[in-house]
Amino acid sequence: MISTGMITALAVQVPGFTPGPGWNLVADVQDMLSFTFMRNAFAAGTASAVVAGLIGYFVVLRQSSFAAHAISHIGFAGAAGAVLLGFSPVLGVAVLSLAASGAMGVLGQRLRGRDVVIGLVMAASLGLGYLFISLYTGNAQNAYSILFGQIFGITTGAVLITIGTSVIVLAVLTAIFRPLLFASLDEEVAQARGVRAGAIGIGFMLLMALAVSEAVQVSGVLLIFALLVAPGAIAERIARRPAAALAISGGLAVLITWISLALSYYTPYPVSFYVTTLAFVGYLASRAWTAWAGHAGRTGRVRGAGIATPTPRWAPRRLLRCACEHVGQARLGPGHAGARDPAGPGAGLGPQQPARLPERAADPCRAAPPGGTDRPGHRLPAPAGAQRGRPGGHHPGGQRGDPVPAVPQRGPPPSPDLPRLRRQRGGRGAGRGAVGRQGRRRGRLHRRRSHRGAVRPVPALRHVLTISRVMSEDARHRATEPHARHADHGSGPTTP
Amino acid sequence: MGTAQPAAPAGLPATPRPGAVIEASGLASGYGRKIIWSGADFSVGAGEFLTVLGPNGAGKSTLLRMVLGLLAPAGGTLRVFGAPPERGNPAIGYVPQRRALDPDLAISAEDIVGLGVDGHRWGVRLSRRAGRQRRESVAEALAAVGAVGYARRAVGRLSGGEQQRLQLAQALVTHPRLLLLDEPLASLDLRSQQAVSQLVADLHAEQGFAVVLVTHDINPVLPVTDRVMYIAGGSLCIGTPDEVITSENLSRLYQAEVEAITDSRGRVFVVGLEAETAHPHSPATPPGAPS
Repeated sequence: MISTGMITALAVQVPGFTPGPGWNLVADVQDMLSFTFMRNAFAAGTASAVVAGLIGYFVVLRQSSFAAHAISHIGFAGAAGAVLLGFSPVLGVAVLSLAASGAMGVLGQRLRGRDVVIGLVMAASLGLGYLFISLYTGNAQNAYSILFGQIFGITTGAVLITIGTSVIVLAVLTAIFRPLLFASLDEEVAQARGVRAGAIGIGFMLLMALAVSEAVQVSGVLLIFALLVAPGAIAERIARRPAAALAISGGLAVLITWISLALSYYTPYPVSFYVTTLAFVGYLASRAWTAWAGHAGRTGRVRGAGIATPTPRWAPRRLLRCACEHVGQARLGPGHAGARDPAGPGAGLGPQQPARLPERAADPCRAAPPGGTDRPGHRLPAPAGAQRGRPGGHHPGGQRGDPVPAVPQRGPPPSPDLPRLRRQRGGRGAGRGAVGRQGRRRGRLHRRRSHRGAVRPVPALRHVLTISRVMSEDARHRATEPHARHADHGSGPTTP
Repeated sequence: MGTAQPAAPAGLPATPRPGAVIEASGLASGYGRKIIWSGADFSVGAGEFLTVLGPNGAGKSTLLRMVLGLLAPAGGTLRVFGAPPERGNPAIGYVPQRRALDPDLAISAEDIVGLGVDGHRWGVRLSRRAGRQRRESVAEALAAVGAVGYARRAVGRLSGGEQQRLQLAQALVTHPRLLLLDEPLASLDLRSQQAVSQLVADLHAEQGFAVVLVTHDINPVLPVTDRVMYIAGGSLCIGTPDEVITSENLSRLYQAEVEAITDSRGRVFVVGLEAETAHPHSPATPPGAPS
């Protein structure tokens, strides 16, 4: 195993090796990949991370993350036994975890909720692995690397085996994708529709064992949870479509692995530490994201119910609107709230209307949104000056199959008395087009409102690209024409 | 006792229509050697609304599992659409007992319903035409259950009633001729119960499929149900609600003193059964009472 100590040793011996990163990213990456062990680590790490991410999403959906963890621990006994007998430890992990996952798959439903049994088997196999290690008289470093990962020590042959395993796992996963998704989300209905959920479950457990044996090389037996479960858990929280979820999960696992490898290359700390930390930070960030986007979701829900005044997210207009509404409500009196409701039947199931069975078109659940937005004032149409939505207050953003035709979600121009957001290009500061608070905020707002909290990676990417393009153009402009800076700071536009 | 309740509304025939969907003769149900109930002879006609009642563990859900082909009959014969039951029949829509979804699950409602279209197929969807057809049938099913408004929302954040509608849409997406519903009203609040049972009734009237609905509480579906099957004490009894839910009938089924009470608004309460069998000294609880 090549440890960080060896890297520092290499730094002394190899000319041109810089122990710290420079600020030229391309040169840094070239520098990093000039070593065979780093190339091997990146290749094996990428192959196992893709598989771990994709399998991990289903692990989270099937709520079998404890089983995945247990399989890796049972695999540890196999690794230690293989070391004792003189085989490759990864082979030992693969054999024993395949056996364990096969047994779990066969037991299937009967094992669900049997955490005690799984935990005891897991502890017993950890103990057995420890016995094997103490029987082994050779280098104890080997066992240590099984527990915590050994990706820098991977041989070229092992890299090829890892990539081959990944290809097999991906092929099988593609073949069983739809029935696996169906059985993971709703096993009973899937069975009724002809899915052999039991066989699919066994197949999935075997795939999981292969993914575990691969990921063990990166993060080790003890820390496998990070690489196998965290990307899937993040994807489950933020992705609306299964395909997007798989892309996010696999992409995140790869990203975490790459960043960890790079950080570990430049710092004296181990890869698996970075993997676990990044995974944890990513999960926290996803929770923060969903909490923040959840508010947008609820706002969308209120609007979806046909409430006439969609609540904008930014404060000044919102406050103004609320003030207008409350004034209007006070003028109309409470009795008018239901009668003036333009949203059609069901949306205004207020206390004023007689109790009746709600009609199908108007979902009773949507009609009574929870939370603070359910104020009676919001059902009132706003005064003409403040109204932003279309008159009639039908569902914004046409859904497929919606009787209401799709209308592009673009409000009328804001009233002249309200503050206007400036365009991003003309932001303040010395470099025009700088992305300060306001610019970023506007970008966020725009994305969020147009997609209602759904994850759309492409606009975000485009946003970043635009920023970088603007900034680089600006820099070039300044470099070639030094006097242009003067013009920027001057009182008005000057003709060149 | 039971005669005071109103009969089924006009237009809904009390007798099965021609062309039986389910035919059972001498049917017995059970797992392994344990027989739960036996000696069932009945048939469900096309477009009929049958409500299956009975206490916990009486074998209501096993009846549905046998019709779906997930469980072999322990005895007798069962024919579905004139053939032995087989799993994966697209002419049967199935809504299982609702289980709580992970509240973090962000998959959209559309995709959940879409699983009903092609979730059982191998591989991944490749052709654009299949994708378009899938979208169309999903949109149609969502519109039928009135779930268009939250088609794009994360399914984990939907309320119980909304999730129930999605399950219904998922079952309807193949245009079934028989809809099996297992406790669709359990763990819903009263308002959602009314909405869901009204929805099932409307869809039944519109699309004309046969419905077999398993429930604890008959009152929400009493106005729309054609016939009632009561399973208790190892045997079952089928007929119109007036015929089946009588004190004599239920006492015979439970082999205990049971009283069926109809209140002034036509609601039916069955009193005495579980209280008498389990705790002789506790006050009687009406299991048929609305929660």
